[in-house]
Amino acid sequence: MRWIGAALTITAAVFTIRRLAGRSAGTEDASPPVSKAFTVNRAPDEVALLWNELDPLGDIVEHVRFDLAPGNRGTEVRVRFQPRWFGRRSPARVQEQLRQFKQIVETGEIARAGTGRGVRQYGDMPEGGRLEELLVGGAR
Amino acid sequence: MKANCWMGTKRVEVRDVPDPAILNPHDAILRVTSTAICGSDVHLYDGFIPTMRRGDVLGHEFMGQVVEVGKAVKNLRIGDRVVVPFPIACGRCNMCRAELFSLCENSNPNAWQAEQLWGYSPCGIFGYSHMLGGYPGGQAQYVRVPFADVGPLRVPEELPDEQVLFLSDIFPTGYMAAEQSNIQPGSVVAVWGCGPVGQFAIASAYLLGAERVIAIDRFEYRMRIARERAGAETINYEETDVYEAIREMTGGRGADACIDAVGMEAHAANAWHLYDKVKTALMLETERGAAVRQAIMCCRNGGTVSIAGVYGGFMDKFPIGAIVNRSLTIKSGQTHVHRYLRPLLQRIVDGEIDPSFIITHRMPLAAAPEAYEMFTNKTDDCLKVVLAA
Repeated sequence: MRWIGAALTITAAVFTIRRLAGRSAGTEDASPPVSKAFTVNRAPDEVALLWNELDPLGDIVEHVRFDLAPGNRGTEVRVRFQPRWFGRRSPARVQEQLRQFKQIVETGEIARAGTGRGVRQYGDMPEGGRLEELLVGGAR
Repeated sequence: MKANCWMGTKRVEVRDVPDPAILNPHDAILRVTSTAICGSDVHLYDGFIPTMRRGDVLGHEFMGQVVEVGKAVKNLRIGDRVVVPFPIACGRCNMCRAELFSLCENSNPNAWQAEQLWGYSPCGIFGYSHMLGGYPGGQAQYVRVPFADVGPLRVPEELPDEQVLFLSDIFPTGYMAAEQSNIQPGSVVAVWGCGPVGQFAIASAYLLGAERVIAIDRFEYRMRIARERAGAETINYEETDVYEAIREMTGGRGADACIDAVGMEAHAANAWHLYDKVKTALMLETERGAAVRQAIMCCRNGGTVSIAGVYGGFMDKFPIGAIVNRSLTIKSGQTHVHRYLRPLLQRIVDGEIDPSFIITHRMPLAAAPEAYEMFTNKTDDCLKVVLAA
């Protein structure tokens, strides 16, 4: 499968989730949303597919978009979310999740030294079909 | 298994640690046959590199035999004899695709730490602090090699370990330092430091066509090896004014390329040394920069300063004015070892160079503590220690 046209932009605005915890507590978010961006060396359609399959951030994500990176460098991913000081919505934690997503998409595995503890490790990758095909070899 | 572990500043111990295991599909496990102590290990030993922890297994120059491979490693078989690059590189990210392997975007699990200090993270490195991954190193009986489908190079059986071991780091490091120096026919190259990387920088500068190579050090035994084995002219900076000597030797032009093969623990024979000692002791700078400062001042107008020595943080009195006003080019980087493995192996096979000329000591892994002490203090005319694991 190949994408035609360099100006391709997939806007997978799949989630527009109000923060359930915040809403149930009856509070409005004080801080503005944070955006994190990273580049993955794979085609936008493949990255979007894997994003939906692996769902690295779950309901944290308000908005995610996948743009073709200039210079034949794959896909720019931009993720917007409502930050918290601590826990899984902290910008540092989100950054680590995104880094691990990139590692899986590019290499099929998460770098680990075998010492110390990571943030969160994905479990076994789902096997079979399109996803496995995309994961096993990593980026082409 | 036995492994040489960092136990604090000026303290290493050979200890029993758990055997490594396959953790990822692209991993391999090696039985280490030979490993070496690098000058950059001395920076760890001396406590100059942050984020080391007690018990960390040291060593990023090693080779050995494959004893186990992960399910995604198709290019290696059990029993293969390989040498392993010190940078860990995935081979698939944009940096690896550009052959900038030491900038791999996927191999440092602690990239966030490096980003705090440097803005962006380089690759993970074996046995070289947690900021650079926290990977156990190869001064051990066994070592886990991530992305073994990308890094390890099978070496010909007829070449002994001693001739190919240094492909893991210092030969490519010296070579890259020379390669990025824009050496042209007729070039005069000056190399600060006659340690192992300096020796290979000298030899590589000649391989790349330099006319003359001038090497700067203060240890006579190291300068003797630089003269007799690598072919350099030498300057003892404790006896001679280096700037004046290079100016004289180059007809008043300055050296076309200056290579810093010293790094962050430079020693100087003048007031700079006291200045840097005091500033680093007070934590007002992290580097002792005498060598690179002098390299900049001795470089001709429009020349290239190539920094192979390791630096970690912030240096005081860096002569940026000389760089800007004299159109100097600064080149640096952790070595992209992967891209030099095959071409440099070919030079060894063809007999253009025998990298074992730098070895002065051969010891068992169990003797690592004595070896570190000797190499760091430059006693017994020590230039390079190879440990048999």
